[in-house]
Amino acid sequence: MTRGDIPLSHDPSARYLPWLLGIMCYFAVLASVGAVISHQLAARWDFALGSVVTVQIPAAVTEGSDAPRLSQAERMMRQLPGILRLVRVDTSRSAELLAPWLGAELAADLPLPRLFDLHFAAPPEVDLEQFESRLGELFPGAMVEAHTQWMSHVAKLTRAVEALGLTVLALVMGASVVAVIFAVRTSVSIHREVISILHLIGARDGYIASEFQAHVLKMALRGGLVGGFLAVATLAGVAAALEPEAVDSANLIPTLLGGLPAGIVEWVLIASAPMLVAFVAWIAARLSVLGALRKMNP
Amino acid sequence: MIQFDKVELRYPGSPAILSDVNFAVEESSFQFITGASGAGKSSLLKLMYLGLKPSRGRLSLFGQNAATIGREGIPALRRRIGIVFQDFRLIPHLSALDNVALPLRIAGARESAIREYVPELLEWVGLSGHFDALPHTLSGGQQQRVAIARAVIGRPQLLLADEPTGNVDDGVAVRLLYLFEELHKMGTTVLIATHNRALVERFDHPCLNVDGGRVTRVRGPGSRRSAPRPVGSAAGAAASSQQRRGG
Ligand SMILES: Nc1ncnc2c1ncn2[C@@H]1O[C@H](COP(=O)(O)OP(=O)(O)O)[C@@H](O)[C@H]1O
Ligand SMILES: [Mg+2]
Repeated sequence: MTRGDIPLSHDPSARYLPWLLGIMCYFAVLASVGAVISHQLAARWDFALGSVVTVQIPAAVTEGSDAPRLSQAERMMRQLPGILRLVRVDTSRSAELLAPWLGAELAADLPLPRLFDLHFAAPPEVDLEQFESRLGELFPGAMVEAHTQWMSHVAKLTRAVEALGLTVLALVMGASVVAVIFAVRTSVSIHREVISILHLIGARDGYIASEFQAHVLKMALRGGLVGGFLAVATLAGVAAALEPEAVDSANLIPTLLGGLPAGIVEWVLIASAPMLVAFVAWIAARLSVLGALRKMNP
Repeated sequence: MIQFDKVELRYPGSPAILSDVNFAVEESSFQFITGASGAGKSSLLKLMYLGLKPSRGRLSLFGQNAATIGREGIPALRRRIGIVFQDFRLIPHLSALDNVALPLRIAGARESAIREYVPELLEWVGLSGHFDALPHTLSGGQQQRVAIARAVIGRPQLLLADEPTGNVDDGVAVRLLYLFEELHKMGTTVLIATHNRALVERFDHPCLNVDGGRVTRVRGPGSRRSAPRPVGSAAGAAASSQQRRGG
């Protein structure tokens, strides 16, 4: 790839630039994984939470005493436009959740409200307040709760994480550009003599610049490969460390892990982070070497 | 091909090295430039390859005014010129072969052509056993021959050679001058700066002398010995080309 007219491989930058760009690529991959995951999570939670409405109906005085009213309420729920599924939350499961706090017996005897999860294809367009008051005629104290409030916080958080990832990516690019510019300027002044000979025998600036570009690209790709590989290893390590806990903790972590990008598109995006760093380094090398050459006598 | 018109050259902060320089170099001519060490021969050549611009006056190269040739135009012009530098200017980390191949690579020649012509030329200048040698492992004379090979490999239209025989013994010097004559026969315009009067005397070529900042023609084309006389104008140049056509 390099013709070797200029002995760039012995420059000080040849020792530190691959490492530096490797570290940059490491962060570029982590940042883009972060951005991709949170982007996916945001989309998924928009769907999952934005489209679920919980209906809470107060406990019956005696078990089964309000069965007709309850089935009428269920019919009303099923008739809501856009509804996909109606899931009655098992009350014994609610009792289980409370058991650690109240003790198993007390929890079992407690008159727990009946819970229904209403799944919609998209965030429901129904007027939920009006629906709550209609239910309230059947069951005073019935509550209809959309998860939009909580969801909007989560969505904001995931957006923030996504923005953070992209910011880190941009900073990594900026730092790579600065590193490359300094390295190239140093190299140009080290090789002033050879460059002037090349000029004297008719080399264009572009010919000389291509030598530097190829050198920087080679270093960036070498660094990028190592950095990218280490980043993927880090991610795999994190995933492995989280996996056991993920099974019995709340939903968040499995969702996070489920969000670990597995699709081709995501991997291509992640693999392109080192490529992007290399490409940016390559462009930076060309522009800075041309700039430095223009300051020299041709 | 080259026309100097009242050209003056001064390095920053010093008096003029060359002043009121007027002469023309005809296409396909072969000329010597003589003068004592420090007279300004190298500086004169430097003007001709655009390493310097005249402080005053007008210099035209290949029909272009040197003052109007921008940075972008210089490489194309230099590819038409082969230069043998007094201090060789070989690239230290490249082998003799790669140094000589450089002008071809810069011009985008095919590697097969490079592998064919470069060794041939190196053999011709007597460096058969030194293709892979780095410049610092070669003697001064050997380095000089690498520099000459590099200057002529691209068959330039104009060859500027600065003391090209300064580091070789007389036998080799004459052989190298024959190489320049070969090139000249193929149509290259050759200008050789040297302080070696003896060498100049062995060849029947016109000769310019640099002295006291002035350039004078000491030997016209085709005439073995003639009194120094200034070539002050285009008329002088026309006269000398007339004379050449006549001879
Ligand atoms: N880069 C330079 N800066 C200032 N003075 C120079 C420079 N190069 C040459 N000179 C001066 O110009 C004069 C002519 O030098 P040069 O052209 O090398 O002569 P020659 O080749 O005939 O020996 C000398 O006095 C030298 O000191
Ligand atoms: Mg000189």
